[in-house]
Amino acid sequence: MAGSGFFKYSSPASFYPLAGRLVPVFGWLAAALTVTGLYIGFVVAPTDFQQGEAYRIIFIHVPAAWMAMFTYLVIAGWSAASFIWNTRLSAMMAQALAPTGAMFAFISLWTGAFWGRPTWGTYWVWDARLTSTLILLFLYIGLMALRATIEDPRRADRACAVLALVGSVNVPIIYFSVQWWNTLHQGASVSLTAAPKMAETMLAGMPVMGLAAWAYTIAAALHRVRSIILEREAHARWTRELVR
Amino acid sequence: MSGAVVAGDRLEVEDLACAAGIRTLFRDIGFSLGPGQWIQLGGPNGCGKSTLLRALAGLVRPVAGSISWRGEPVAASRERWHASIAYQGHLPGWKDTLGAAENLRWQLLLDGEPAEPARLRDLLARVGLERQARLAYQRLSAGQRRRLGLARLVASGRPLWLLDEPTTALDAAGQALFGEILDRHLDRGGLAICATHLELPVRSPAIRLELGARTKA
Amino acid sequence: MNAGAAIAWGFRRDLALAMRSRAEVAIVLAFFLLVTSMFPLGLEPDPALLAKIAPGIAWVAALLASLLGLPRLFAGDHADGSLEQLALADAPLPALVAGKVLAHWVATGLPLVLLAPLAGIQFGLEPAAIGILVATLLLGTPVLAWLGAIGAALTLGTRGGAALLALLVLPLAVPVLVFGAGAVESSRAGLGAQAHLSLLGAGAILSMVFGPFVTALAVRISFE
Repeated sequence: MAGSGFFKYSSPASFYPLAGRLVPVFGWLAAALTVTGLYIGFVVAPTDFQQGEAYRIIFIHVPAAWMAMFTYLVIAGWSAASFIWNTRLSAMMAQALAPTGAMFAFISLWTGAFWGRPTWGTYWVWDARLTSTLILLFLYIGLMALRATIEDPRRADRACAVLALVGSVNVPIIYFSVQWWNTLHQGASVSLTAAPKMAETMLAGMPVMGLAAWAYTIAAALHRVRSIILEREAHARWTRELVR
Repeated sequence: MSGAVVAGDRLEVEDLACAAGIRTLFRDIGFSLGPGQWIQLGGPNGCGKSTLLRALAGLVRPVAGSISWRGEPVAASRERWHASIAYQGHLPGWKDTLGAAENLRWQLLLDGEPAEPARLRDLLARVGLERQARLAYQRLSAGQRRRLGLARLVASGRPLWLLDEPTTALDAAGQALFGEILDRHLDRGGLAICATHLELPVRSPAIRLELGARTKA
Repeated sequence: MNAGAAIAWGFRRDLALAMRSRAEVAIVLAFFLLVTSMFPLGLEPDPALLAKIAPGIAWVAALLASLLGLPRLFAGDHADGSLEQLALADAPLPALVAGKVLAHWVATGLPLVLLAPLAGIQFGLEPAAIGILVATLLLGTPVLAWLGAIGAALTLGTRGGAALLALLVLPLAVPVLVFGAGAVESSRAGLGAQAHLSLLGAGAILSMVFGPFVTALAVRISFE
């Protein structure tokens, strides 16, 4: 099936060099976007009247939360692809993305704490987004734990694919239920979703950081998938020639 | 019933290869098996005999090769293939807390065979377990447990038997019994593949397939 | 065997097995009551507080108790080889699995539903609230059974143990917990529990429709 166009890259052997060329491209893009975004967020955007400087953490908190969720859906997409076309590489991409998604979930939770403390005096609030992100982090940990405890790589691929697909169907339901739960118990005035009204310059920083997170995820995943490919294709001739 | 022995039953295997993780267990395994024939699958420990049987049964996916039954690829209809085989692997497949007769009853029902009490009695008697019918499976000796598996084979009308070490723990009488049962199956036109490193007391001559060397039989 | 016969086979056999291991089953129920008893000991036995937190606690206890019972579903069959025979049977595996999960629910889930009023009394819940709690458990325990079945099948033979199973199943069970416990609160607040019960019901139906196929797939994956 060394076919034409898109499918040409579906074998790990031909994808490996392509990924190698793309990693620096996306890496530099991520760096540039991050610098720009942080500049907008931490330098250009004016101080908020109500929340002072602390609100600036939102430029990391929100894009990270968004990226964590999006990455999970991408993992589900690769998992579906690995079932439909029975390609090893799709499963490897799913495997490569998980740690980065988990990292963003963790960053989102951490920055949420940094925001909460100076603003409302508490490190953690049970608001809808933070709680959903916490559960998402557990879903990621579950994926990585399942991968770690299954020895056969192909079996791990398929088991994690099932888990990712079941999880992805559940993710909107989880978010919805947490939202519901949160509004039911509204009475708490603290909410990280109640962002301060922001001027346009403030808002410009968010999509930039969002794109930065996206570029970083691609770079990290491609880099990681190269290691995964080497590890799992260790017996194949082309890897041995590479090492030589 | 697609499970019954039919004249012209044929198993064709081509270029079968299986892997465990990164390690290739065997490659280029091919053979053709016809009615009344059986393969004795040999080879050193760890060479993949059990995996080959499991790959044929459909529990494990081979990394390469094709399996055809009665001219059709096995992958085309999983249920039809399952209806044609009786697989006994390393794990016995019986429940500890149920009695011998009960266990047999559930398995026969699952196999789609009649399982009235009279038939169960006959089958157990055939394999020498008539006095153990009510005994819980976990109280049976290793040899008696193996005989329960033989009872299932006797009852099964399925053409292809895939057996992994079928005579382990059987005493001399039990082994002779196994030989008889397999011979009768082959005489009726059935097929069998037995993975074993022992000599089986079977009258019909075996096709020998040794793993650990590339073979086309 | 057709699907109906396969479901019946799985149900009857597993129920027969559960009857032989009644102690194992009873332990799960004892665990449920044990967990609910821990909370007043860990907090203060203030009646108002207990009545307030009762639905949440009953639900968490039900979640944990159902997790505890999960290994019974596939691990035994996997260990003695009967799961292989199920996978090789001339019968649809999803149907066989559905029969097993149904038997599992009858043996461990349904008794939880029937025990819930006891927990309600422990916490001083009013009868109307107990009624809603029982209804949510009746609808929610099948969902838990199917989520658990998928998790149990995926983790067959792995080194992760019960902790891994809990890690996989609990996050997915959050919506059931939220709507289950929330129903009682909502009805207490005078808002009625219709919406919650409908959502739980929808979840039960979805899990019964898709659960068998996903679980059967996970079982086949576990053999590789």
